[in-house]
Order: sequence, then structure tokens, then C-alpha cells
Amino acid sequence: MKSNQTSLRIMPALVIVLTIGVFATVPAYAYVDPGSGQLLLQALGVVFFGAAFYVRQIVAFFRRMLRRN
Amino acid sequence: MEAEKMLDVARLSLRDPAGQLFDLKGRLIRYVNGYGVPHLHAALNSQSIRRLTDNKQFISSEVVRTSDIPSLGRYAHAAADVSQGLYLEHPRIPFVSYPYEWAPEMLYAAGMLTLDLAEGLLEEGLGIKDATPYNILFQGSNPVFIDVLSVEKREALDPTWLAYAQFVRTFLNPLLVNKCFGMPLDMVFLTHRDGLEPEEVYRLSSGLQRFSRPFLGMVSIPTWLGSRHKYSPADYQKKLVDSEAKARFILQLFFKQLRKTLLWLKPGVERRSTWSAYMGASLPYSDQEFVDKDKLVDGMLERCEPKSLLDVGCNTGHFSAKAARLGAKVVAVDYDPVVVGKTWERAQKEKLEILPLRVDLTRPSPGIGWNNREAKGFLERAEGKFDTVMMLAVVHHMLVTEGIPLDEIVDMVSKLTTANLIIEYVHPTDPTFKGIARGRDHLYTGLTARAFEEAFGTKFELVESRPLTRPTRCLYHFKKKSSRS
Repeated sequence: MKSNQTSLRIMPALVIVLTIGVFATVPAYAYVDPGSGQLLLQALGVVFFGAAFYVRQIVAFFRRMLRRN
Repeated sequence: MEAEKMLDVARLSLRDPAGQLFDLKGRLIRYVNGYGVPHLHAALNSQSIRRLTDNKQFISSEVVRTSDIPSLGRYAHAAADVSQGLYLEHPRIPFVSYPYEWAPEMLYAAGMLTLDLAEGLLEEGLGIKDATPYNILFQGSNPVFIDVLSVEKREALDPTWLAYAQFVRTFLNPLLVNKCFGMPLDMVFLTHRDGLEPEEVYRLSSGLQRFSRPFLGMVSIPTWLGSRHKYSPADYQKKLVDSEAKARFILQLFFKQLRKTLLWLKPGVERRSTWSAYMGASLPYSDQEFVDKDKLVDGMLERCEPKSLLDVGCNTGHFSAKAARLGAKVVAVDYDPVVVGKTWERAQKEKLEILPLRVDLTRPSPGIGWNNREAKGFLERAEGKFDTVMMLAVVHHMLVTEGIPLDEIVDMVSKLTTANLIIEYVHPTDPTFKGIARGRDHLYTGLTARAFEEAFGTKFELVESRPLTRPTRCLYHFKKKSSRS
């Protein structure tokens, strides 16, 4: 009984995950540029880490201010 | 190939646009062309490379005068711009091995060295242009970065690492499929020289795995992005940022992420296989029988005084370690990657000169790559390289499980050793023999000790035979006939 309830609770999450998994990928039938996915991921990383760079500078600036005060 | 032999020159690397490596009458000579020279100078002056070279983690290089270089023969055109280029000489690594022969622990160590190098160079305005395990060889159990021309001056404002995808393909993805799906490295690298694309790993993974760590970042997102993306030359134009500090900071975070993923993929110490418990609970000897065998092997090894030894069927390296402690450079092979990994860990821990490789002598690694010559087959690399070959409790597996005739085994071993052979004979009535024969014992009734001696007697002279305490086994020391005169 208890395991049935658990299965019912998990089921919607499982359906969502599987649906995304199945439909998120578009099969490529023609020329695929190898490594392009990683390159795009790296480009996203540059944006994200670049923002982190400024956050770090801002944090460092306030730390210096606090120390002076 | 004949022409190469006549000139005593062989081209060992051909893919790098900055230069090529040649075996010139036994010397390892690298020609660096005009394009590669400025990058090479930067590399040779780098502090982090000097430090790694001192630690024997980076191959040493010596600039050689052009006048000291004999003709490159049929490859002379490769060094046509000699006025702008230069020659380097490198020391030889005793035994060349390839990623498909490594245990996962070794690929992990090679990956760490690649990241150490890339991170170390970052502060000096340098980088590495490729990140493949083929840039690394093992000296004993220690990885050594051998491709000097991988190092290049970095565009200071560029926050991307072009070799990022290659690092994922050739280090992370093979370790991932090994850890999560049990796929051995030889299955990956023998057919996929440049590793596994995220799309290939994505197809292997389950729906839930695709959303879990490290699949999501390493496999799924790149697959989704790549499949929806239409190629454009603009993708490969450098995307520069506004300050050097920012570019360096971003790259440091990339390396940190890669290191974290690599750490996650570190092969576990608890890995098990059919053979990993052989030296423990599954040992087919009683304690006393094994102690006696140990003493006999010790004695034979001491009398052989091996300088270079091939241990076939090394298991976890118990006897390889004995040979290494006597000063031999040991190459230890076994077909089970788990025990090869354990031998590597032992060699690292005890600082022993052992190179463990996943090689099945009944199906040795073939020559692969361009013309099947880019990476030579195991036998071609091993023939005549060892003054001693040791085969303990392994021949019956080759005979019975693999069906290799005894005379073929004799012939192969005689090519591998230049002098000694230490080999264990197992009689067909031995319980282990009977176990692997699976009721086909009648096929091997002729395999008596006498027949064994006669078969090896065609190529070897018997030095000594010592029956083991276990009555169905005997230890032999043979000497190759041609080596005695």
C-alpha cells in the first residue's frame, strides 16, 4: 500500500523528466559539427563566470571599504 | 617500410602542424618549424614547465645544432624551412603505451597532469592547444607529458580553452562510461581515437542519468545545445573579454570545474573483478604452498638479475614488485583492467618502476591510426625489449581458455625475451586446470611436464626446474638458445 502511494507520488515527476528527455534532443541526420555543444557551453560559462568576476570585484571593493571604516 | 629501415629513420608523429618527431638511428629528434619556434621558446623558458621537468612529469628537451642532425631521408621535405626551424632531442621513455592499454587510474592520473600543466601555464600567459592522453606516456607508473609542441602562447584576452571539448572527449567521457557503464578503456580508444562525443554518451545514458551529475553538464547540455545549433564560422572566432585578469579568472574557473569533475570520476579503490581477489580468497595455493612458491620465484629472479622484465598475467603485481625491487624495469600485463589498476596503485605507493598495462597476450593491441603505424601494436613494441619474461600460472589459461597451441606460445615468448624465461607449468590434473577445462580434460592428457619441456626446448635451454609444493605444478627457468654462445 505504502509503496503504491510512493509510486503515485513519483509518477508525475518521472513523466516530466522522461518527456523532457525524449523531446529535448533533436536527432541530427546531416553533418554534425563535433564539439560545438561544448563550445557553446563554454561560451555560456564565459558569460556566467564573467559575471562572477565582477561580483568578486564588487565584494572585494566593499570588503576594502569595511576594513577602512 | 623497407626504405625506412635502410635509412634508419621513422616518423613517429605527423599530426602537429608545428613539427614532427622522428626516430633517427635510435635518437628521438623533433623538428620544429618556423611557426612552432616562438611557442617552443616560450615553453622552454616557462617556470612551470621547468618545475614539471625537474619532477620528471614533462619530457626534457635539448636543442640540437642542425649540423649534428643526419639526413631525414625520405622525410627531408618535412624539415624544408630549416633556416627558420630547429631540432630538439628528447630522451626515450623505456616503453611506449597508449590509453587503450591503461587502467582507468592511469587515465585519471594523465588527466590530472594535463590540468596541472594547463593551470600552471595560465599565469605565464601560456596554454596547451590540445588535451589528449596521447600527449602522455608512462615512465614506470608515472605520467610524463611528452608533447612539447602542445604548449603555445595564449591570447591574453581569450577566456576560452579550445582544447576544453577534447579534454572532455578523451579524459572525462571515457572515465564516465567506465565508471557508470563498466565500459573498458580499450573499447573506447581502440575505435575512437579522439574519445567519445557527448552525443555518444548521451545515447548510452538513461533518462534520469541525463539530469544527474556529472551527465547534465558534461553530456546532456552539450548534446542539447549541439543538436539545436546550426554551424557558423563565427562560432570559432575568438571571443575576447576586456581585461587579462578577467580572462584568467574565467579560465581558472573552467579548470576548477574540470578538476572537480575529474575528481568525481576517480576510479574507486573498491573496484572488483573475477581476478581482483585472486591473490586473496581465490588463491589456488595453501598459505604454505604460496610461501614456497614465493621463495622459488625469488631465487630464480635473483639468478636472472633482470634489467627489463615482462610479467605476463601479472594480476595485482605481487611478483612484478619483486622484480622491480631487484632493480628491473617491469612491464606488467594482464587482461583484467581492475587488477592492472591495482598493480598501478601498488607501483605508485611503493615507488616501483612498474608499468602496468591492460594487454591480453592472446589478443594483443593492434597497430592503429594512420597506415596502422601511428600507434604500433603491442608485440612490435615488446619484441626483444625484455631480458626476462615471467609467466606464472598463466600458460594453462592461454592453452585451454583461448585455445592457443603450445608451440605458438613458445614461438611468441621466444620473440619477447632476449635471455630468460621464468614459467610455471600446471598439469591437467590440477584442480584449476580442470576447472577451466570444464570437462574437456581428455583433450589435454598429452600436456605432461616432459611435453612442456620438449616444446620449450625447441627455442630454449632448460636451466633449472623446481617442483612446487603443490604436486601438479612446477617452476622452470629457461634460457633462450641464441642468447648463449
